Amino acid sequence: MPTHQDFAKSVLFCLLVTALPFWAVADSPAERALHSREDLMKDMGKHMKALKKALGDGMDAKSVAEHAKGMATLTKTLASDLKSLFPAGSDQGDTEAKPLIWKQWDKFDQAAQAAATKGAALLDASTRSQAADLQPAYQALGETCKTCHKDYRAEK
Amino acid sequence: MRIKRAIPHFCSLLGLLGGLAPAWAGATPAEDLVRQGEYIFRLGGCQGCHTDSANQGAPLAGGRALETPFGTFYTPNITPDPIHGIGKWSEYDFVHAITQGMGSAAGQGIASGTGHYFPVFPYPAYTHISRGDLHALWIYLRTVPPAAHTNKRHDTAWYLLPGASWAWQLLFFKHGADPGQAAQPEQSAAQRGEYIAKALAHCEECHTPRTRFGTLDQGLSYAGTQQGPEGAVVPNITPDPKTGIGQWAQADLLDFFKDGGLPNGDYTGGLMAEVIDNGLKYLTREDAEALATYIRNLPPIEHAVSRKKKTAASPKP
Repeated sequence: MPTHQDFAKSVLFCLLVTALPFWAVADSPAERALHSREDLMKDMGKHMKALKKALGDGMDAKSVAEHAKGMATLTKTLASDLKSLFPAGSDQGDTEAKPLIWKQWDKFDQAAQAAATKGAALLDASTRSQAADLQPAYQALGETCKTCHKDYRAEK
Repeated sequence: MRIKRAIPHFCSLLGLLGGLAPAWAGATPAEDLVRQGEYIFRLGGCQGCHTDSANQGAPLAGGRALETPFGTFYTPNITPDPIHGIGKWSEYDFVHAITQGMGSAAGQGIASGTGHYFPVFPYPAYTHISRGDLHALWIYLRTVPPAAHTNKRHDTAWYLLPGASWAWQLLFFKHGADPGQAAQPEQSAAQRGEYIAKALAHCEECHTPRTRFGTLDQGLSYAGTQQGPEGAVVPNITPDPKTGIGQWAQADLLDFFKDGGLPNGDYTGGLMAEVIDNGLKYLTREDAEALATYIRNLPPIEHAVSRKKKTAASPKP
């Protein structure tokens, strides 16, 4: 006659067996970091695309303010969470990150800080809503993106 | 005694005169010709390959390692240094090297000296550069500071035996119809776009896959490759809507040439970012329009090029 204890053991066993395949294919910390940074970069791309459109379409101030704020937030996150987004060993797998990142970590970190500074400058410029202020700030931020990608990301 | 005392002064005077020699000889080139040469230099991508930026190398002093499936090639010093660069070359030597893929014997240390060049140097494209543009480029290159940087020998695959580059040229290299004179100064916008893409910017050299013999696979011209320079995955830039840039508008290409921005808000990276920074962002508006028009009118080729997953190197036993 099976006891409650036996029943509990059986349930636990079944749960473990069921969970095992999921555990086996779960992302490693490096893979999680890889997905997190890809999502972050994609979101930045969306904001930059929207900013370009907003700046080109006769200056849509509301949209500019929204996406400048988005870029300021994301570049700040990039700079502050750089180590967790790019942990050592995460140059493997489906990634365009070059191993040079970890060889030149200080320089890479400086590039991320520069992006945060330029992001904040863009947000600041957006509060004045003058296209003459915004275009250079937008271009300066884009330039930091390209400079970083030139050294640390494979071609795209 | 007087003669002995006079010798140092005489030597000093000679040194001074030597320093003034170019001005005396009236060799200072016209500024507009230098500017034209600098423009050709930028579009030709000379800066990127001939400067070892990763190791803070002097501009155009060479030494950059170009990794290819055929080995690692080290770019040569093309500054006017007389020992290590092209300081002793004549303009004829220079034009010959660019359009025929052959080095000069004029005492400089370009890797294998006077021999036939491997096509990692894009002379199959440069052979179509007009004589006028080559003259301007030559004049410009005489103005860059000389750098006494020793050239490094290529580290080629074992099967590239001496004479391999000669044999390659014999079998596969076709120089311009009228070497060095091919492109005429009067060009339509369409011809100008083709001239920039094919001869100057040599886009095909990276964006077209190569055959096992190192020649361009013309059936996939501009359709991208997974074995680009330095192992780069190079995208398909034909107007194929699925695998190429068929969704890009003319304005997207113009923006891309200017700052490397992609239509999705991303920015290019790797070697293409270098090409933008060193060259394409200097395109005049007319030339940018011509190049964009040419690229958008290429035959679309469906050819997906995707990045291979990088895997960690397995531990050595």
